[in-house]
Amino acid sequence: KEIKLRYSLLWPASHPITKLAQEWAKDVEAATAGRVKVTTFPGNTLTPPMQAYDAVVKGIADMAANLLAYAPGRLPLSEVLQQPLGYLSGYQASKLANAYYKKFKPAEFNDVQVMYLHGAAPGFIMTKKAVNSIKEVKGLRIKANAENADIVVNLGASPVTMPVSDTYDSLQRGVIDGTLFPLEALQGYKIGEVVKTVIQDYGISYMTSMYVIMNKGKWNSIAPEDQKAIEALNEVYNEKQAKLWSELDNSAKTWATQKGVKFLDVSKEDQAATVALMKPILDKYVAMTKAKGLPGDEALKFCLDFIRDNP
Amino acid sequence: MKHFMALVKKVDTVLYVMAGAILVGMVLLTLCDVILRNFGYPITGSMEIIMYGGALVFGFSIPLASMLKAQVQVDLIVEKLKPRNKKAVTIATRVVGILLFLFVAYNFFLYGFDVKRTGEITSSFKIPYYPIVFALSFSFLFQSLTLIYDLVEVIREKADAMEESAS
Amino acid sequence: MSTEVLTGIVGIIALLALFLTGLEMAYCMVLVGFLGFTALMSFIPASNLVVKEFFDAFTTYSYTVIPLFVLMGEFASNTNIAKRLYTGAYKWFGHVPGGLAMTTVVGATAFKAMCGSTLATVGTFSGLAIPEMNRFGYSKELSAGTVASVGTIGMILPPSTVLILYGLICEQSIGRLFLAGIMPALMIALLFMLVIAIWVTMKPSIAPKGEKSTWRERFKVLPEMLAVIIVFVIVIGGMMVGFFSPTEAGTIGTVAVFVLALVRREVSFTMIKRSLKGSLKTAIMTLMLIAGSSVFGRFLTITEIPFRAADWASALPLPPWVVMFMIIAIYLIGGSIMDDLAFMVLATPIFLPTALALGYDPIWFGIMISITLMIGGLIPPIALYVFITGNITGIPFKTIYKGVVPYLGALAFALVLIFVFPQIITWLPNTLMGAM
Ligand code: NA
Ligand code: NA
Repeated sequence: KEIKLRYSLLWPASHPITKLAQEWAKDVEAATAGRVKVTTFPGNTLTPPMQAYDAVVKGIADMAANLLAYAPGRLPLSEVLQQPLGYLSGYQASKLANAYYKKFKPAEFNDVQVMYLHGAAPGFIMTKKAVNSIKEVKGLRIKANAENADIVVNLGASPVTMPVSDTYDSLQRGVIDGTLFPLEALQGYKIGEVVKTVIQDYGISYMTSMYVIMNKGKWNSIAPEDQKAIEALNEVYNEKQAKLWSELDNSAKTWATQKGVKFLDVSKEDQAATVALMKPILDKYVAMTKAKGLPGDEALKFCLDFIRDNP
Repeated sequence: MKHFMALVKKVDTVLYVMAGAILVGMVLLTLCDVILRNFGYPITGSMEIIMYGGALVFGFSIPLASMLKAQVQVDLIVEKLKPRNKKAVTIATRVVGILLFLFVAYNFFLYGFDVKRTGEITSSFKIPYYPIVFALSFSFLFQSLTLIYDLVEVIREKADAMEESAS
Repeated sequence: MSTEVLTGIVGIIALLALFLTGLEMAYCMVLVGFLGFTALMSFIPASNLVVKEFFDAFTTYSYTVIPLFVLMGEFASNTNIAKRLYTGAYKWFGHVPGGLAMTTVVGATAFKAMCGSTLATVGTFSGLAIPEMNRFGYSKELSAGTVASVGTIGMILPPSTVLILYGLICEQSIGRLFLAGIMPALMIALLFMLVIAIWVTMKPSIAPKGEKSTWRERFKVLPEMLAVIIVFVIVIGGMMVGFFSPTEAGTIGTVAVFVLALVRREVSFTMIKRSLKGSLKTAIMTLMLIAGSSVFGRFLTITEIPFRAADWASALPLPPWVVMFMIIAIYLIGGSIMDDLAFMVLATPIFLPTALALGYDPIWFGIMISITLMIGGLIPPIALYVFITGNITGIPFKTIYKGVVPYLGALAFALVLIFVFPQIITWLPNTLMGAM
């Protein structure tokens, strides 16, 4: 009997990540000799982004790829991934996200079957006016998603929350002076058209973490040998996805440079100062998980060690 | 029946007044945010409160909007029917509406417990989402009751019309 | 034909049939979407779909702009502010045939540029401009038809949500798209004025001409109008220099109009109550339609009809312009039965590659389909802008549809012009930003 999977994707049809997901779908079909068929629905056409996770739980979609942050409060231990841990690249971040999942198998994901986790990094501050130091961020109005607002606050700037789709227009008009985004957004959200400087301070570098999940019931209906085949493919595709993020970052960087965006390097001292400023955010995360009886300290240590050992 | 009708009307009005009050609050909050932001003190997460308030504004307006017949419908064909057929069609559509919103209210009720269990909260202020869900469930329940009210009115009109034709 | 496509076609027909029973349209869409989803998936996911689409629509930040902007319009029309503005405009342009309708076109276009929301523009002007035009003897066809149509110009006038979305989906420069939208938007505004001029010449009774006022009378009303214009400038100016975002402009405008009414001692508890009621009524009506449209839209998505239509259109061995013509026809149908933005997201990634392969410019394509979706919002079965206008003013849809027809003609003419002279779109961005 053929099992049909409807796969909801955040990215539009033309996006390389959608293309990769479609490649995964083809490989799954081949590896299961057609017993599992996957149809992709790009651009949030099957589920609104804020509902994607729960839509998979409820079986509205059979699969989804979206942001962990769009299920706020639901995945507390995994919030470790979005902290300013000093991510160096999208490759490193994606490998870490998946390694973290495998190590901790957090119970918060129990209502779905995780295929793999990955994410966009490094996340930096990008400013409308040219700046020469991370210190100049003080007092600026910076767009940040709520989960990253503390990064901006601790740098002495004012965080402004707004929909991603408003960011371009607000930068252009000067409603905000800058924005906190992963590098990929320079090209992906066209932010490179409206900013002058990207402050490459790895002290604040965070990850926009993402999941690829399947409905539990659907997963259980797949024959064990086909499950194995899919799991093997997930390993391959986590690697491909990780590489893709680094490619996207490089391409965004080249594209933005052509648009006249300057990539500011930050001195060792400045970066050390930033790391100190970010420390309270990590403490807050650990305290939050402790209150819920979760091993946040262990998760944090695992991630920091991973970043140190896998440059 | 009289008591029921009065109660529905009363609750609908209370909900509507609350919606209006929240809307005024949203105006004031945005105003403060814009002013303070230009002095360097933005209200972090104001977007979230506006979103939360908006959900309640929309939700609490549902029942009375139905009482005011504010929902869009195509009446081109129905208007052309004979009065008796028109009544029958209207009664049928009211019943469909009543069942639909009882169903929606019930599912929202279940969803409320679900959101409470999974602990979904807004990102900045960590306000739980489940109160919105229960509020919407309540609004949809009264939407359904309002449609029952409407149905009773339609049937009564029918009785009135019959009396008229008899006399 | 697959089960999915067949179910989808049955669903569309069922929806249209259900509309005719007089069941509220939003309820029809929820019901058919739910049943269709149950048929293709199953009962529990379909029940959850309904709840989640309602919840998502109600908790979307961008939609809060609707009650906030409509509140500004309500304040203006429930005090004497709107009245004085139109009395003033009448003194200046009342002797021109259709002068007030033309003023409304200009006003609504400027307003849309300010608030960024087509829905809010139509909602605001329905309450504000239609009663005023009718007061001066304009026919309801003309007044309501103008307001229902004019909000759509904003779809391509920056800052435009549709264009931002298109830019992100299709990886096009948003700045370039904004520039590209200006000329066709102005052209359509001019065409609308032309429509009014021709229409009024053919049927003078729909817009009685006023006496030509003396310059003395005109300058006398100027201070009255000036107050409103100052509010306008504060809101637009504040947005330009970055004091607030377009989404926030509605609130600022509401406060500004309120203060103006306060200064003129026109604020009363009754006025506030009535304005809030009007704003909530429009907001919930729109939201129910949006939620209903999303439930139905998700059902259409899983039927895979949009994908099939794309495969079919791009596989045809026909000259490029015929294929493009068919793509536009698909957008027209899609835009007429679904939410504009939803259809844009669903269909554009499928058709853009075809358009590029046929040698069409992606910026040109973006503006072209935006105008097409604009038309979709004005034609049955789901003519959102007509519904909003009808609901706020109580004017029958039939009358409004009649009033919209001439403007549809202008929009169709605009599409033809843009087809023949793509430079209307590409000239400004290419001149200012260099050719692509
Ligand atoms: Na339509
Ligand atoms: Na539409």
